[in-house]
Amino acid sequence: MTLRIRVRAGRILWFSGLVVMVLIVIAPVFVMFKYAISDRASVVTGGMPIPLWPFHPTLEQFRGLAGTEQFLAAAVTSLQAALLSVTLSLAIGTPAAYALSRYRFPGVMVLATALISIRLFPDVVAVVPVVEIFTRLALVNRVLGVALAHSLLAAPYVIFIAMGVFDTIPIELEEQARILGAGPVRSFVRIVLPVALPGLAAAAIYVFLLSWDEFIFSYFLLAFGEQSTLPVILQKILSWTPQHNLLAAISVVLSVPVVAFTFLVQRYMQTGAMAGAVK
Amino acid sequence: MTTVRLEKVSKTIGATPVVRELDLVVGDGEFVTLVGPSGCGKTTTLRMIAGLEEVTSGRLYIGDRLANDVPSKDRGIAMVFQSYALFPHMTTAQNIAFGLKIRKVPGDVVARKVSWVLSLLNLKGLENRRPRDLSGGQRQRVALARAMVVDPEVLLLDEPLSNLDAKLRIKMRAELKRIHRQLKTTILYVTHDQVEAMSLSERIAVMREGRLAQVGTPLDIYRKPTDLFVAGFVGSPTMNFFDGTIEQKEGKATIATRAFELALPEPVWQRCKTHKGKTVILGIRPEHIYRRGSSRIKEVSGNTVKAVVTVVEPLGDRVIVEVERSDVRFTLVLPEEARMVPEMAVTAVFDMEHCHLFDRASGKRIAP
Repeated sequence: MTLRIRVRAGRILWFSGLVVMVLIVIAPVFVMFKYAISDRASVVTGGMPIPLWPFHPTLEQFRGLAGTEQFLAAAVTSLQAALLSVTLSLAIGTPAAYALSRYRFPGVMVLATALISIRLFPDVVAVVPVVEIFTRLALVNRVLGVALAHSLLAAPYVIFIAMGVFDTIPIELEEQARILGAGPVRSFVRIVLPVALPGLAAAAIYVFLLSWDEFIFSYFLLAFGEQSTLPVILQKILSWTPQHNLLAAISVVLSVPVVAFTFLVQRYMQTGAMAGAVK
Repeated sequence: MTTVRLEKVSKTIGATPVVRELDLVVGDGEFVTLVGPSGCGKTTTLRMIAGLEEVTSGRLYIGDRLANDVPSKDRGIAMVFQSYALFPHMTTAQNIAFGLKIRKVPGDVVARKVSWVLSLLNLKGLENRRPRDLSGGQRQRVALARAMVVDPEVLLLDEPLSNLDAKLRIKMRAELKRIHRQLKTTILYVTHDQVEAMSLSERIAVMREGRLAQVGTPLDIYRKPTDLFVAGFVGSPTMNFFDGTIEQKEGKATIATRAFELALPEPVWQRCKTHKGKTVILGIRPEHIYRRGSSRIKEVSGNTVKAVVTVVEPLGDRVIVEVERSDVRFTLVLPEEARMVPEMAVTAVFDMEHCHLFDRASGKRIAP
């Protein structure tokens, strides 16, 4: 009897713990969402407590943003830069990681560590020489330049993630493909890449996030052009202390593509991609 | 179907010789097993034949063609790895068809061949499963199917049964034998399990430290091991070894160990005369030692040893019995009816016609 009570008490405690944890995660998202759909009266209350749910939920802020050409252009630029960064950094990082993982030449770990330690420098330190070099190469004020800079930031991480992925793929799979007649390229494309896909998808999400959020490089590289990315626009808007509900709406717009991209790529991330390959 | 010929094939990795001057011929359609303890170079040898490792020196012929520098895919070989190396993102059918598709075999031929190999290996109904949804035995069969479907002239198998449980291993052993009889493909098989080697192959090549210790039929190797290593490696339970001195007293040849003396039959004596007065190693398999009263052996003077039972291992129909006499231990295999218990006194009758004598220094066989 007492045991049953104790078991039930344990369950209740465990469940309440879960509820608290979920609330901690959900609360900021809720506040952001609530403000984004708030009408002016629910934000500027004149000393009254701010309501838990807006008096008159409205999409007014979003409509306003959708009507702002500058904001829309920035959203498109951000998306272009992010997708281009994902493509570039994976195109550079994946083969590099494959080489580092498969060919154990002397100093391979030194090279890998050197690659990641590039990221130990603060971005602000790196931004000046990068802008200097990119100016000479006519890469400033262009999406390509921003994407290249973001790829530069992301590549070491992509290489590290992909190296870990390739390390888990047994060499026997490639040897078997070779015996069956596949050349190195076909064996890489048909065998290694599909098996590595879940890990590479994780890397892609990471790069997307990095590029989407990145401020300093985008700011300096686009300083004198007409284009701008969302974080840069956000900074400009923030500088004239706007209303909470406009900021929240921008935040929602900033979050949506990240969530969407993650959902899109996540279906490649099923666990146990290697299951059944060996033993 | 073709022959594989290795002439003084060596492999050195870094400064370490892994395979040393190996000479071996695998006949057309023959089933040959490379067996030896781990690290003896058997897998490296197989990988050299597969073209996955370069031959450091020597010549490797597949058929009549010198194959040292021929790429894997042009050697007419197929291989099954110990780990199976199934492509995890492909179904059974896709795994099997992979080699054919790469070779640009027309679609209808691919379908026919895949279907043929699926039924040969009892894989019908599993075509659309991924490797992770297959059992160990099924994965093993898919790996085998993928190798066989490309009609290899030589099939290389690297410990293909070692990841299966004991029961399945015995079943797959019979299956492999059936397939070989049916297809007559030249098969080179690597295992560290001497029982597997004995039961499967037409000929066995025993390897040790990169060298070939002995090549022969399973019976050859069981009956006439060329040295102590092969004698100890092949057979289960392991052969008994005793240090003994060959003597001749009153016209009778004997071998005296620390604890007992046994008479040497005339043919054995004829072969070991030269070692008279010297210490040699006497080897005798547990199954060639009987218990007094057994109908299998006639008791003659000088082939009995009185001993005390120390350990009894029942195997069902038989028991492995370890006995001791004056600190010298040996094992014998007795029928279950013997009802052995520790501390029991037993008179062992040695079938000296089946004894082996080895030189103590070189380990080489002296007689019979």
